[in-house]
Amino acid sequence: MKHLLTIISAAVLTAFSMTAQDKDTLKVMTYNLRFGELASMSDFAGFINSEKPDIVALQECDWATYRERAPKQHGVKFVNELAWRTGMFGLYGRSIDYKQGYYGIGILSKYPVVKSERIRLPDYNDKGGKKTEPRIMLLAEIELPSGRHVTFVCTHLEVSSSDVRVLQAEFINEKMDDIYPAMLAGDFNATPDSPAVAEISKEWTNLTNGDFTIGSDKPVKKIDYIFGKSPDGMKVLSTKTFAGVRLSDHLPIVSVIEF
Amino acid sequence: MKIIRYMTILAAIAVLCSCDNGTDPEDNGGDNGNGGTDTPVIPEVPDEVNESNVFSVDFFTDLGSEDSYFASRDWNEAVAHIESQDGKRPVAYMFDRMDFTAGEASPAVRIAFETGCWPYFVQTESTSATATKGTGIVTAYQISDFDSVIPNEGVFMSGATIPVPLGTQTDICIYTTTLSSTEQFGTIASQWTGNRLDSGVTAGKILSGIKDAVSESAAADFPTLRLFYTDMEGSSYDLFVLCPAAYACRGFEAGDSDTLPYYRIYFEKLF
Repeated sequence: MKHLLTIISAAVLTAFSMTAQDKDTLKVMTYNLRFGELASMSDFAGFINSEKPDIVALQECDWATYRERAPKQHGVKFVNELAWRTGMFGLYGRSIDYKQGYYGIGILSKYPVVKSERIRLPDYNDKGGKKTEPRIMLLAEIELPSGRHVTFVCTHLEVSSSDVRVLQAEFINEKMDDIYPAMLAGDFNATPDSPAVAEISKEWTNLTNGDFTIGSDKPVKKIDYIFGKSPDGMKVLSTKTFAGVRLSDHLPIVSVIEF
Repeated sequence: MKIIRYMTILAAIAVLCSCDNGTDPEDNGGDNGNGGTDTPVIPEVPDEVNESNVFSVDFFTDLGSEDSYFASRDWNEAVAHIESQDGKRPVAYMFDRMDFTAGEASPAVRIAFETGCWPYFVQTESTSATATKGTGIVTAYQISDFDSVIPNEGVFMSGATIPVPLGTQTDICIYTTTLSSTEQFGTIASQWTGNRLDSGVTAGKILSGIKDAVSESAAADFPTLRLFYTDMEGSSYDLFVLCPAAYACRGFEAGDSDTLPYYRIYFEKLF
């Protein structure tokens, strides 16, 4: 009998071990850079390197603009420079042409991107509102060392219209309907009790805590998130909002996720 | 630059196949020139080149070397090369091999940073926790889509959809891969003949020893595609181009740099 129990225990342990091996763990960051008004790319790269994330979602990234409010960033290609300074691969998604360059969002990845796509979000208000600033979702399918693929989406939703934010959230849900495992991170311009976050939460699990993320001096609300979905669920091993990091008006968030 | 000897395979063979079946094309009522046979015929590549529809890619490679291209080279030389281009510039620069080590800045990223271009990485093996072998792509054009075709384990092909300035701006997907078996070729070619891929070209390396077998496979199984490759003496690898009928390879030119071996591959969009 004792021998049989030993065999059963060994089998259970083996099964557990295999399950553990089948899972991946990713350290994910989201950070709105506020077009580099308050800090240099070297500063941002220093923070990213100190955390060593696997994937980073970046918002408010300029590409060779000449905006008055950020004179030190004239001509700087944010994502290219951050990729170079962090040793990650960078993807840039243009949202609009701006000040002789582009304004948009980006993704940094420690692992190769096998597919990427820049997708325009709805930028109209079907309740008769005016057309809003063009926004995008930037999608990267990343092959992990385990051989599994994860689809990572970075976005920055509409700032002024709650109705348009909901439309954009619905669009993202529809676009990502049958794609697993997936993560969605960025600046949603929406608080946890908002209709847009409620819409996103129909399909995705929030992988961050409730700490406020804007402004960085004295945070007043949470509008930045990392969401995820996987057939077997996603487990937050740790999550942190970095109060006190004042490189932008937003605070960065880092979550370690097992899936 | 010197022009590398190269061969066109499929168009000629496809025509031969269709002419050898003993059927008079007129018997078929002019059914798109198919001549009543199941073997489709694609138009021959015209002798005359329409220069306004020609675009090029600079493919940096040691061909048979087992080392990463920048293992013993300064990536600043590639920066200087890109910055020295004038006139009708290559639409993309491909660096084979350019391995990617997690956490270390890839030469493609550095070159892109220095030249104001966009970097991409085409893996040619599964992702490793350390270094992953592949090809770097640097392009001056803003890319909306980067697409990988990974139809089964061990076969990788990726490319960027580039807004190429021909007579009018035309979105063309330029893929790259390395072929080391006939089976791999079949897998890649079937992506072009199925619905998976549409407008574009595949340019890359092919193991020299499989060229004959690949040519046979191309003629027999993929007569609607065009295949071109170089005939390098003493090299274990050649360059190849595979494309649908709407495109053709117009030549491979060896670059004139002693320290930075590369080949300029010319393509023409025929229709």
